[in-house]
This record gives sequence, C-alpha cells and structure tokens, in this order.
Amino acid sequence: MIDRTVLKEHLVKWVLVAFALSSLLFLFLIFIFILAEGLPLFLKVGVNKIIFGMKWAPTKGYFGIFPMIISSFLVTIGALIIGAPLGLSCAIYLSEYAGKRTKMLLKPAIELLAGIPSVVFGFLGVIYIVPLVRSYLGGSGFSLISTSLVLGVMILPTIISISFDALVSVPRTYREGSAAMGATKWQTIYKVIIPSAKSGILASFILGMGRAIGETMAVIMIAGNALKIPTSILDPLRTLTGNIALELAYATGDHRLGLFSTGVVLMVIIMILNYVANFGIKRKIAK
Amino acid sequence: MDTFALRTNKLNLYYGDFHALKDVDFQVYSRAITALIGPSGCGKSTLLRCFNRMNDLQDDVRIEGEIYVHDERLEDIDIINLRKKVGMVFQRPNPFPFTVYENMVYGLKVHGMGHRRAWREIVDRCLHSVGLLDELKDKLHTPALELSEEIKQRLCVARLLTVEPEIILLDEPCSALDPIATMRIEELMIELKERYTILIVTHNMQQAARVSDYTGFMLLGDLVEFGETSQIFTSPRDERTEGYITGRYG
Repeated sequence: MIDRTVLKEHLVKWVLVAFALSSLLFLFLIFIFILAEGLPLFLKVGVNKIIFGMKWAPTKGYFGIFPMIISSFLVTIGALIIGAPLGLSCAIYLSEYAGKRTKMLLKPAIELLAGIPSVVFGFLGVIYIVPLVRSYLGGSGFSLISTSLVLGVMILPTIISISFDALVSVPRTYREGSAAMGATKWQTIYKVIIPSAKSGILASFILGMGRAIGETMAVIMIAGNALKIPTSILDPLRTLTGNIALELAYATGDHRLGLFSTGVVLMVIIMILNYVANFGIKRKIAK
Repeated sequence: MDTFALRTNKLNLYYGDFHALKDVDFQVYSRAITALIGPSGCGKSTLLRCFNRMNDLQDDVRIEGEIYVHDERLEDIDIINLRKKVGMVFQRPNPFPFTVYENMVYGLKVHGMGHRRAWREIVDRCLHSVGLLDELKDKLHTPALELSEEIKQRLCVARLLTVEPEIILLDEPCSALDPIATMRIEELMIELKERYTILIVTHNMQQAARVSDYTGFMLLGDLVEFGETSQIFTSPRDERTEGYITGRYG
C-alpha cells in the first residue's frame, strides 16, 4: 500500500517536471529551427548585405532589411512615446490614488485590454485612426503615426501592470518617511516613490517595447507596408514582423530563407530587450 | 513662553470600532524628554502619531477631542507646516534609497528652503548635530542604504533637523539596533533636548528610565499615570503602573 502511494507521488512529480521542461524544449526547438533556416542565407549573401542592405527584392537576389529594422524601431519608439506616459500615469493613479472600488473596476478593464485580439486593434485602427490621420494630417493615413498610436494603446497593459507592481512594492516606510518630513502626496510620489521604483518602471517600458516590436497583425493592417525608410510620421512603413507575415504564404527557395533571416534579426532584438529588462528587474531585487 | 509643547484634552481615537485611545489628557514639556511606556498595543504609538497626524494615512480612523501644539489647535495648523514643526523618527531606520546627500536635502527641497548653495552648510551642520559629520563627510555621495543600521537611524534624525523642527517624535527608535548603537542614540537624544522637545515611545523601560525627564504609562488605551520619570519609577501612584515596571506583566 505504502509503496503504491510513494510511487504515485514520484510519478506525479516526474510528469510535472517533464511538462515544466517542455516549455524550455519548445524554446530550444524554435531557436534551432529559426537559426537552421535563417543562418544559411547570412552565409551565402553576407551579414552586411542583409542587415544594412537597402533593397528588398528577394526574387532578384536582394535581401536588404535595413529599412524594416529602422521601421520596426520607429514604430516601437513611437508606441513608447504614446504608451509610456499614459501607462505610467495610470499605474501611479492605481497604486497611489485609486480607492478600492476604482481599482476593482480598472484592473479587470486593463486585463481585458490585454486580452483583446490584435486583429481587433488593427481593425479599429483602419476604421478610425487611419481616416482621422488622413483627413487631419494628410497622407494616405497608413503611416508611422497611426501604427504608433495603435501600438501605444496595445502596450498599455504591459506597462501598467509591471509599473504598478514596481510602485506598489516601494516600502511603506519610504512613504511614511516622506510624509513625516512634510512632503505632499505628489512630492512623495515624484521625489521618492518613482525614483525608488525606477528600475521596475524601466523594465515595464522595455517589455512594452518587446511587445510592440513583435506585434504583427495590427501593424500590417495599419502601417501601409511600403519598402522604404519613412522620412516623416505620415509615411507608410514595413516592419520585420510585417515582412514575414505578408510574404511567407507565397515565398519559396531563397525568398523563404530571407524571411527566416528576418526572423533571426527579430529574435535577436527581442532577446536583447528581454535581457535588459530582466537585468533591470534583478538589480531592483538585489537592492 | 508656554511650558507645554504638546497637549491633549479628552483625546479619543477609534480604528473602525476599536477604541484605541480613551479620554487621554497628556502633556509634553518643552525642551525635555518625555517617554511613553506600556505593553504592545496599549496605544502609545497611536498617541505619538496623533501629533504629526500620521494616523491620517490610515483609513477608518476617527479622532475626537483636542490636541494642541504650543497652544495652537492642531486643526488650525496646515499639515505641511505641522509635519515640518513636528518631525518623526521611525522604528526602522527609513532613509530613502538615494545618496546620503540626497537624503539630507530632501526636506529642504520639499519645503523650498534656502539656496542650493547654502544647502551644503546646512547638511554639514545637521550631520554634526548627530555626530555623523566626520563619519560621512567623505561619503555624501554613497547610497544611504549601504550604511549600518545605527548610522541610518542617526541619518534619519539628521535629515529631520534640516527643516528645523521644534518637536521630535521618536517611535521606538532603537528597536532595530544593538545595545551599543542604542546607547549612542540615547546619548544623542540627551544632547538634542537642549534645543528640541522630544517625545519617545519605547517598549524598553530601562531606556525610559535612562533618558527621559517625564514618563507616561499607558495600558489598553488609557494614560494610566503621568509624572516625572523618577517618581514613576520609584513611587508609582497607580498599582497597574507598579505592576508593569516591576515586571508583573507587559
């Protein structure tokens, strides 16, 4: 009898270990798969000609993705310019000012925002943002600014929830200490709480950037997907993710490999962002 | 000149339904050290926190009765000036996670006091008052969190002095410190009473006996007895006080 219970315990434990490790396995497989498909072209065409190449015409042997790298960064920075102040303000309101009831209303709303499919964001962008930009600012409306606006809203949940956690974890003793010095609530927030939560807030921005740079569906619907470096905020652009999604369906041969190379670049960028974000979070814990 | 820096009249305080302070009539003499003693949960910290309105930070607190700061009603003083005038040192040293210098000028910044150029002098003077100038004058730009607990607590006192308070509230300021550090903080208190009024809450009776001029004993929200420290510890009038100081409970 005892043996069977012990056996069962062990069995459960090992099954769980196997499942837990499977996510690591998946990550590893994805990594191998993308590198295996994406690296050969780097060797064949040359790293420089891909990363710094200006022309993307894969059927004619041009695999330059530099405009897309720049475009991806531009929409990401744009998203951050819109999402960071909004998200941080919301997190500050939630952690410092909101009463229990407001919190109970806002937090699920933010979680719901995170759960809205990106195609819906893209759809709303096409229906509302694009025409608004077209009629008030000019251009076709499919542009850097429209994409940044939509992405800015899409990264809000990430920024809000991680900044909120960082703000809430500032020890109560700092707040009391500041209040006891005669600081007003805003002075306490601005001069003590935000600086204390700095690394967590920065991590939230970086993870938001990761989210923005990886977003695909909403971006291809709104960005216009033109193959050049935008020169104004009203110009259309094509991102790394957009490039893969738009062309994979019909790509063959070297063209297909070119898309995997795009994927390699994207993956490296996202890994760097995650590393930097984790570094920020860890440093805060170490303190 | 008024003799009382702080005074309460029929002070009652409730946390929700819990009656935490019951009809407390209490005085704190100017430029002296007054200690509040009593078992945990007796309301001594709560009473202390009334004087700089720290209880306001908590929800569900109701206060009745009168509190005077130098004969001025507490409600008539705006909270910013009140907290500048009545500074507080906490149980656990709570320097901000900035440099020593940033900690020291925090109050000056918040109250817009003095010129940036004059700050250094104020910082030096206040560090000197708590005996830290030699120790820290070359470490002004190191993070305050790297200091030892005792130095942190002294720094918190020094930080307070920059905004020129009149009254200093100390909420069990030595409970996180070792005996030698405790002794040093006690010496500091005795030095500071020349210029400041000090009210200290302590669970350590010997500490009250060593440093204070007046002592109040609290039990279950009542101020049972108040008087000169020597009298409280040698001939308490109330048998509950006697029971506590002779160690029968608490």
